[in-house]
Amino acid sequence: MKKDNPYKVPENYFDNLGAQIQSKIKQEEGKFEQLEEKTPLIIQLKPYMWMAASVFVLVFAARIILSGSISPEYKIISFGNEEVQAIAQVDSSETSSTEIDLEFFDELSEVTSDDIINYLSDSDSDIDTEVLLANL
Amino acid sequence: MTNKSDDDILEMFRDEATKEEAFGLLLKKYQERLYWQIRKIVISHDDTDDVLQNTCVKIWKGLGNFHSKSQLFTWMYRIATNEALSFLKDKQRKYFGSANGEMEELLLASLESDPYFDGDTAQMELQKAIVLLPEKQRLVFNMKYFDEMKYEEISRILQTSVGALKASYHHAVKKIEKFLISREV
Repeated sequence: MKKDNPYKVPENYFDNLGAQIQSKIKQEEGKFEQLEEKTPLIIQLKPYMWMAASVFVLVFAARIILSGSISPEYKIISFGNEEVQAIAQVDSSETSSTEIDLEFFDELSEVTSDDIINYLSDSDSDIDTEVLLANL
Repeated sequence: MTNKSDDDILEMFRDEATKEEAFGLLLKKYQERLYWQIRKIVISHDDTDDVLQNTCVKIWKGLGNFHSKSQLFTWMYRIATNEALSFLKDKQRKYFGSANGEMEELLLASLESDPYFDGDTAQMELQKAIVLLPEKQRLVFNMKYFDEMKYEEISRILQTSVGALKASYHHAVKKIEKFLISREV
């Protein structure tokens, strides 16, 4: 039995292959950049939304605690030393909680309902799931 | 130009200014071997072309994080093998609606309809015998018989012990012999 390879390739296939692959990579990277440009709203606001939700819960919890029987002064001190610091360290080691709040509201003010609806209804996007997941 | 070592190419790849050039060198050096590894798994040239391009995109994305724990070529070979096997499973699902359909049917159809097959009758019979093997035996047989790779190298790529590979190869040879005798080649 002959051991020769019986499979063939089209003429000059390997000569052009490198260029084809490099072009495919550029195409993929284009998709990636498009993804970054296309999804700033949800993806960029996501950490701030979590931060806002945390602050809201914290304020709500603080109000319940402050309305209790222990002296308000003690509760404010306890709250400032523990919860606030813990929350401020959750998602950002570089940004203070005040800066995050300001950035969040600045970003949020630029988002219109149309932006959100357009984003959510953009079903004909050709960005593949793998790229989307990798960019999270 | 293509005589640069893998380490040199990797170093160039990590520098933004020479990244593309480095990848071009890498492709020139290994594209044909990767192509043939994929082709022997998926059989059709057109499918191989698709899988190879996806493989290379994955190599491009992962190469920056590659650390020389294993050989660069072994790592690329594994990506190519995984991509080819995933492609076949997807194709199987598309044709049969599940991954339980007859893979051999698909491969035989690819083999018989591939315009880029240039073998004689005996070679066609041998290829038919190979596509009828279970997946692991088919991989091992091709890598050992056609690519003349060492068991140790195959073991690193397929993550299987040398003993198990030897057993797979032995079973593959027996099945191929039986098939060819039954077809009187």
